[in-house]
Amino acid sequence: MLCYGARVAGTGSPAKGSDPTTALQGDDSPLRYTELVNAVTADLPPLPIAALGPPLLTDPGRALRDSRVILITSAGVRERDEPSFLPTNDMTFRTIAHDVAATRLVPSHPTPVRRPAEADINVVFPRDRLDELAATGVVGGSADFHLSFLGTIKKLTDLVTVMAPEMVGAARRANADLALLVPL
Amino acid sequence: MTLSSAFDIAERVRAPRTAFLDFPLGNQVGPPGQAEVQRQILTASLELFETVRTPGEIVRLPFEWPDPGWRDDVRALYMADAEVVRRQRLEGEYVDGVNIAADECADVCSLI
Repeated sequence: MLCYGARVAGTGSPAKGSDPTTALQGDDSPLRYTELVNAVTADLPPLPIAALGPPLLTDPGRALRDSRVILITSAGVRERDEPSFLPTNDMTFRTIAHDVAATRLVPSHPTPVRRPAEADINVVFPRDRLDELAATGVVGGSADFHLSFLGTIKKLTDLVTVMAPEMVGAARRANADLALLVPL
Repeated sequence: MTLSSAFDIAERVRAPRTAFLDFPLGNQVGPPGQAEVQRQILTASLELFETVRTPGEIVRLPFEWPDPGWRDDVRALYMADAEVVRRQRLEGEYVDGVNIAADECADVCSLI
């Protein structure tokens, strides 16, 4: 049985209907990518997407201006002389020291969606922008390092039970107060 | 905090806090080379740490992509590249004819 649909009746923007035929019609409401994919692959089962239950909201405990932020990217950002991530199911993550120059960083995503990041890594890994916000007092600073993985993962159980807890541990070692995930 | 440009996926995943930016995928923090816009987007996202009080809340950020026709371009691209999309799904979701992605989805949901 496929996992579909959020299990939490949270607030936020109202959801549109899920008629796949509307996915290909023009309007200005947010694109529904799952419906786009399902519409052009109608001979396959719908995309399976896991809904993992009620989210937990943790009080940050300190003001944003006093907080150190860690960036977490799923664009497979790496230093350009490092090996690329595996194109699918790479169950590893890498740490990127905050002082690595943005010009040394490249995305590894296997699809054309990586191209804006190839022109400007900050669009998926806003390292320079974070520095600028720290300099103007918007945030307290940056964590000692950031985390990068490639989001083309289907091994969800390993992701949830092994890799994610390891990334939480790494974020704590980086002295982070807040985590910003920028998924691609 | 998650900064997402895929609203339907954000709806289903329901991270603790989500800032939704209605931009083409790949430009999650703004257009390449536009540092000021990127700073504004990043600031608006991070400020939600101090304002979001409801778990799973998705807040749409007040920024618009410069080209108003971009959604139609994306739809046309998916139509034109349907075979590529199909091949990527088969390569990513199936092993020896078995839909492992669906199995993994069911397995991980059973953990909750």
